[in-house]
Amino acid sequence: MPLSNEKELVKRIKKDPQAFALIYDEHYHSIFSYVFRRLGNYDLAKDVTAETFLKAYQKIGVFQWRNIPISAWLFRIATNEINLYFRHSKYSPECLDDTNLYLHLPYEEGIETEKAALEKTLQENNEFLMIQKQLLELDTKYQEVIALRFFEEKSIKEISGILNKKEGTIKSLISRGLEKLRAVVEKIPLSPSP
Amino acid sequence: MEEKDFISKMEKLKKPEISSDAAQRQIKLTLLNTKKSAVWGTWFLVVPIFFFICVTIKYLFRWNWGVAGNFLDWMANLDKSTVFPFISILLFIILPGIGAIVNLLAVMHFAYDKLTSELIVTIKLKWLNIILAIISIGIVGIIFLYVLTENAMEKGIKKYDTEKNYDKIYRNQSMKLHKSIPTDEDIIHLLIFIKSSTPLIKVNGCMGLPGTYKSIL
Repeated sequence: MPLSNEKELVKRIKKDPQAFALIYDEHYHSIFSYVFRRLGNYDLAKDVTAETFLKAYQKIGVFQWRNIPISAWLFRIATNEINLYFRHSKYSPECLDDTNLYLHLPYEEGIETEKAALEKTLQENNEFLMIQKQLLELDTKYQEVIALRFFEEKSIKEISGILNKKEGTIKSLISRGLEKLRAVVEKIPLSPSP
Repeated sequence: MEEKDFISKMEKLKKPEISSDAAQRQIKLTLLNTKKSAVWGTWFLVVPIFFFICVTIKYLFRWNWGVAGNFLDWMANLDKSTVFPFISILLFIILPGIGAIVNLLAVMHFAYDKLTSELIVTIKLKWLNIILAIISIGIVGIIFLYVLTENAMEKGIKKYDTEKNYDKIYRNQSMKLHKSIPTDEDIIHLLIFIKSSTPLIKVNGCMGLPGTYKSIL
């Protein structure tokens, strides 16, 4: 969606919150993919993604347009949620708990099937799984930039907008993060793909 | 491995294809209809809880706290008011009742599984909501019991007063009756009077002539 359209959409949502559904439909997949690739767990990814959109929905009223795509804002919320998860041994999504979202979810037939399929896909991608697991050992500031750069294929400029850091800082973090990751990965022999 | 090679490897990394349709569908409508219900249940209890605190401070601890006294006076005046007589019912029964329902609904979920024909009731252990529900039910219960006992006492007092009156009346009547019960002497004088003044009189169901009274006497 072009930036101008997004700006209009944000204005519309402030008057009609139900219009948030358009943002939800447009960006859910990309946010869920990012979260799942970082965490490697379907249920957790569903929780974090739900919390991300719930927080966005609750804060859209005070959202100030800064000529940055809405997706950048959503990725930032998702990144913060993932960091929250890593900081606490037991992740407790605040907004989800307050609103009891999960208590009132309708039964969805395809959920278990989707979960099984995703987890199987993850296991089949040996190399990705190994990198993802080793990435979790690094500091979160390196995890964020590497995941956004290589898993989500975001540009340096986009990552800078998401994390609200200078492009130079992003490049530096990527460089140092890859150095650490390479050191860890080279110690582990890769098993052959099926 | 060289840094460039590693970067190249990372760029060419095969990533798993992600499907999220089911999760997306499941969350969408519910998310768009969420409201912070937990807060409502708290606000509905503010006045009743403050009332109980004031009552406790004033009557249990005998502490002369101005705010408590003023609040209780205000509540009493409100109750007596002809314009807003229902406000106390609203504050102490209806709103806490709604608060209890809201908080119970916030922790309970009902689902029907068609395949196994089971009604699944889920209770989430959110202690804040559960405690608020218990307090709300407690307030409604206390007020209800208070109204019941107050009514019962009033009826009891009325009945006592009534019985006391009846007793008084009975005693009075008994005393009157007692006074009006004729002695044997009275009867004799009466009969003599009747004999002398009436030629014919029914005595013991028999018509008798004067002179037959001698047998009675």
